[in-house]
Amino acid sequence: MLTSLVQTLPRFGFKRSDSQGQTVANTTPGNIAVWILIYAELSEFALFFIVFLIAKAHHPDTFSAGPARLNTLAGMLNTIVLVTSSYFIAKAVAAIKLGHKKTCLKWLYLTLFAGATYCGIKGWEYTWNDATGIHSRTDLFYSFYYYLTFNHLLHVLIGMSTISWVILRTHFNTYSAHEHEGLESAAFYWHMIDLAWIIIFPLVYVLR
Amino acid sequence: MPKQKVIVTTWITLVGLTLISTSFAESTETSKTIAIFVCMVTIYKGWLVINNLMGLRFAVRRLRWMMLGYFLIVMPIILITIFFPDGVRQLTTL
Repeated sequence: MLTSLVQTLPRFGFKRSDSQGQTVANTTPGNIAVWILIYAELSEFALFFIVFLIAKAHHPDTFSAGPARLNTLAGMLNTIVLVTSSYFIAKAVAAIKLGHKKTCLKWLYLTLFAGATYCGIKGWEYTWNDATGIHSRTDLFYSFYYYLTFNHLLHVLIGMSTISWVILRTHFNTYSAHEHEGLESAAFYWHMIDLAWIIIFPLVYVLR
Repeated sequence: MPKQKVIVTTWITLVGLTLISTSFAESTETSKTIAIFVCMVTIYKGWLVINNLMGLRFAVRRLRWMMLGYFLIVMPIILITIFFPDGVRQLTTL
């Protein structure tokens, strides 16, 4: 039943552009299953945000003091790294749409490198937290902070695995200017990770 | 503007907006004006990623608005809890 439902979705009115920028009707950019996954993931994050905000309303002092002790530099660097990685993956998709396999691979490797950099900065941030006495059980704010950021880190790792798979398939000439649905889907998933962080950063590090 | 130039301009804008948002993290307390500004900047950043980096600007409207709508719902919810914490507390007390 689910399969038949998914099969009907492309006819639901989704469209996409081909390499020449022409609109191709009755298809969705990437894979429809990925869009369902993306919205499921975003809903999960939204639920976390709502629980965070409810806890903030009940413990205003704890949540007001919490961000001041966080490593804002690490948060800012990770935001810059993630928006840069979104730029890299957008360039990779643009390159494959023009049939430039080598250029596409270059941008994909840079995306993977950006993901690894994000993980490195996150590791430094957690180590820094530990040295300054911030732990997941320090108070309610830090419990949420660790829950949100570690959950996001896991999504980055999943995204990196996906990008690695896409790199492998690009090496084997799976994608072309006309057929690149898998690569495009992986790119959309990576952008979703960036979008989630774009909200997490002000929510946890900036707003008090 | 050519597509490649749009991608580069979007990236530079996103980095600039991130630096602006971060400067508010250094203040001891978030005023309501800053909160509105930071939320507006976040919505704009989401809009930039969705339209220009994901390339949904010319995608079917339903799909694009599903993504943009996420930011247009989540960010106002954040503002509501900042502006009306007592109301949220009362609403969520069992």
